[in-house]
Amino acid sequence: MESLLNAKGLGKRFGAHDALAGVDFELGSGELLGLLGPNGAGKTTTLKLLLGMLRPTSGSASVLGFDCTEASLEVKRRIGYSPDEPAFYNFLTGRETIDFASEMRGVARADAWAEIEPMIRALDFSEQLEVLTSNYSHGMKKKLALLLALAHRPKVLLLDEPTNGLDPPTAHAVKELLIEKAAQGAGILLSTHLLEMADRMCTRVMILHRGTIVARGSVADVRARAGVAPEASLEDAFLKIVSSPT
Amino acid sequence: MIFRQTRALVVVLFRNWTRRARRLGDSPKRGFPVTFVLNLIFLLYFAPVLWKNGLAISQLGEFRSTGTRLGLYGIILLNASSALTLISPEMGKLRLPLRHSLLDELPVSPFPIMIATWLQSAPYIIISGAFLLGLSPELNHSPLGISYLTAFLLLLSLSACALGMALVSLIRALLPAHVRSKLTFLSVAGMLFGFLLLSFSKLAASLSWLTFDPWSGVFEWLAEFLTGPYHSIGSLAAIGLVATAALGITTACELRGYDRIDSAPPVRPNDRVKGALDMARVERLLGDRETGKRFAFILFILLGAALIFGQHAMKSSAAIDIPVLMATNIVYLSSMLTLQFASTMVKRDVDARALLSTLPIEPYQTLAGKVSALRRRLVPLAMLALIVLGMMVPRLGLSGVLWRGCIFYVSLWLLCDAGVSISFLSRGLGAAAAMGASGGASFATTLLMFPFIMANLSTNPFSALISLAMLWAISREAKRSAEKCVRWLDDSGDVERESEIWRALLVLSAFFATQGLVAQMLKFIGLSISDGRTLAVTYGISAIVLALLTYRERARLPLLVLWPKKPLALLLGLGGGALTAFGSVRLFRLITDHDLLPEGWLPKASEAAPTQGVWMVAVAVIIVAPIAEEFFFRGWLQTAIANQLSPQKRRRAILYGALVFAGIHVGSLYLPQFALGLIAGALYFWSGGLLPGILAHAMHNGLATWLGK
Repeated sequence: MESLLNAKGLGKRFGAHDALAGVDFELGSGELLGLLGPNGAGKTTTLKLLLGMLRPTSGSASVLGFDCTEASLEVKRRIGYSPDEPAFYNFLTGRETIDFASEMRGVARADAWAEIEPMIRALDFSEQLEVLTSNYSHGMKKKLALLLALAHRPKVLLLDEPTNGLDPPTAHAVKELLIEKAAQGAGILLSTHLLEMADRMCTRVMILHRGTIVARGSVADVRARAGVAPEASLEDAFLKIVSSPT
Repeated sequence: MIFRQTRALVVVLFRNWTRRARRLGDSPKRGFPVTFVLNLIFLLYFAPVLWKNGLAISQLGEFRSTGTRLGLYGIILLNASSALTLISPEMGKLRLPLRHSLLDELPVSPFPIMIATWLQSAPYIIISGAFLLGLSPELNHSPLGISYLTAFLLLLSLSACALGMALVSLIRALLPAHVRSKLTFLSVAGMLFGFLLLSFSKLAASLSWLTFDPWSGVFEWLAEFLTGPYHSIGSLAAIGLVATAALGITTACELRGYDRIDSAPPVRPNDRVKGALDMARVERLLGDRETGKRFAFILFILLGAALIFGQHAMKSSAAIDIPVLMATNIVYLSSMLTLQFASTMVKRDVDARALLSTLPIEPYQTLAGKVSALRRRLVPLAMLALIVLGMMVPRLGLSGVLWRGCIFYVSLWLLCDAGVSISFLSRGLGAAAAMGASGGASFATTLLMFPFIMANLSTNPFSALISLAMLWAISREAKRSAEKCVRWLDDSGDVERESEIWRALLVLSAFFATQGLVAQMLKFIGLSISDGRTLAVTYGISAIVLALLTYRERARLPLLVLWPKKPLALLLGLGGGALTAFGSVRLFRLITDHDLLPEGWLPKASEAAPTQGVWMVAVAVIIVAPIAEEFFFRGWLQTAIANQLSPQKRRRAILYGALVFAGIHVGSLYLPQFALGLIAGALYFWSGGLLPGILAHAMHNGLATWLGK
């Protein structure tokens, strides 16, 4: 399995607070890695470090061989990122926003549209593409952010709570879409607090708690690590792990 | 209910007041309301100026008839539309998810917003008050008159806010969505018009033909009503009534359930930007969007109208030098528009940072595109300036107009560069007062306005060029700093992200702003400019500010060492200072004796020697100035510049530091100050201590003042 993303001793300190205390992980091609953890565990900090929006206080990370801090532009060219709270130019429509992003990434518009056309249909988004983004609901923004993240066919996807604010059918469509992308060889790092989703989709999970990885491996590994029954839900395992004084 | 509304009021007030100047790449963060306090101080600076202007206008014979009216309409329109502009975005924000505000969760009624708007307009109320006070001599110097005026203005602005709010409520209740979305634009246009009316009210003195208009009777009545006998409780009551009625309308709309949160968002495709996208390059995409073209168009029309007014006025009266007046207005207006446009463009990127920060482009890469977009927007204004310049030929001669025109265009060109770069660095940059409170002035604005205005108001090309050079240096450093530091980063605690030189320049602007502010205050309490005390207090206070700000920076600077490693430097300092002082006096005599400089080129400062408060001047000039300035110019600026250069070129910092040092001595001969800067800089470089430079500076200042008498 080709390694797409590599983090070594990645740490970030804000003042006296250790948001992320030196974590190591890898993301391989075709993998769907779930980044789980309670609020404030360091999930978004991890994603922002990978995106070069924060400078690590220790360690480093690289995507496809490019250092996330030193070569953040090269990294951004190669990854798709969907933030938890997307925001766009409010005077552009969804369609114009996608055109704009393609132009910025140096991707031909026709290619970008060909890539996302099926997804637009799957997400039932074609009508909303003509609406100004200032009039988007949170769910619509999440859909557009996801389309933007996928439009340049990135090999690595960083997704922060991708199904937040989506209705159940759309959320289901998104999950299918991500599984399909992983099957095509993309590496997906999925930050979420929805354990049911991680349970169903992820090939591996990683539980962050107070800035350190407290459990990792396949869902079965995590269950074993937590010492819960194999048929127990991931939620049970998660609760047990984050409540134990590690 | 009352608790909720009070909480909402606090939220609205503090969200706006704690807006801190940040760089473009920074994530939003709350901070101490420094910017607000600075803005308030800066705006208060204008009050005495406007008061003086008002007084001067009121002394023109024909003024009372038409000028008061136009001035007053300007003030009213300005207040009302500034209230509207403030309110309408607030109303819009109510339904947007504001991550950093409690507003989403609160069922806010418009009233707290209205009160907050009213309180925020305090500086404008004060400025309007000062202007009105100057306009109406009968109100001046009478406690009763002043208290009437205060009450009048407070009520007037409250009713303006209330009217604005009522209008917003009515519009939301009655008008379709696509008309509603034009609201902000309309109010901004109204404000612009108000501002123009205000600035061109001087013209009204000679616009006798205006009295024939059909609305004349109404105008007379309004003017009488507003400025009439100041004991008239009736007029106050009437304004109160208007405010009450407006509040009633708002309440009615509220009760009818035209709720701002539930109101359907306007949904429409954006035709404007279609097509533009096809030909867009990366820079243009980020730089040139939306309101710019509309703004420029409206501005063009308004200024055209003003020009026609001006021509009529020229025909009818020679009392006022209209071309000069118009040129001044254009200089002022263009500087403010440039800064406002720059700030708007950058703010738009900030709003979309969640998108932009995921794309492979750093903010600074869009800088050039924004600058060229800004320049394109200013083309109509530049063309208008051409007409005004043409009108000035009979008065200034062709060569006079030519160099002034060149200075104007070059300075505007540079201002675009600097304006965008500084917006990148500060985000808080806006144009003072003109475009409503949403603009807001900042020290960074002073940093640009000072050399820009100085360059355009110079009486000779030499000092204009010096100011132009300052503007160029600032724009270069701002650009360099922006390119070096502005990144999409979420950690605003990252100290490496600001250049040391840039921080030094900001401190320098604080120094100038303090000087201007104190001078205005002293003028206001009646101290004349030739009084030594004015000079001493003005300079003393600003020098102390400079020294304190420099001292605050000590953690980031290499130690500010006073004592030199080579004691010989102390003697050299004293000798060098004496040398430049003698040189300065000799040069001045040489020029005056042989008439080497044309009329108007000789600095005025050297002619006026203070008659009172000589000792205070001596302390300020010989002790305070050398210490404060040497700590800043050599201890900070020169060191910061040197740190940017390679070890072999580090000596050049002496030259650059001396150039800035000479450049800020506006109204001097520049050359002696340049020599002094070189000597003090070289001594600091050589000996590693500030004391030799301080001695040189003190010796120069002392001797030059003494010999100059």
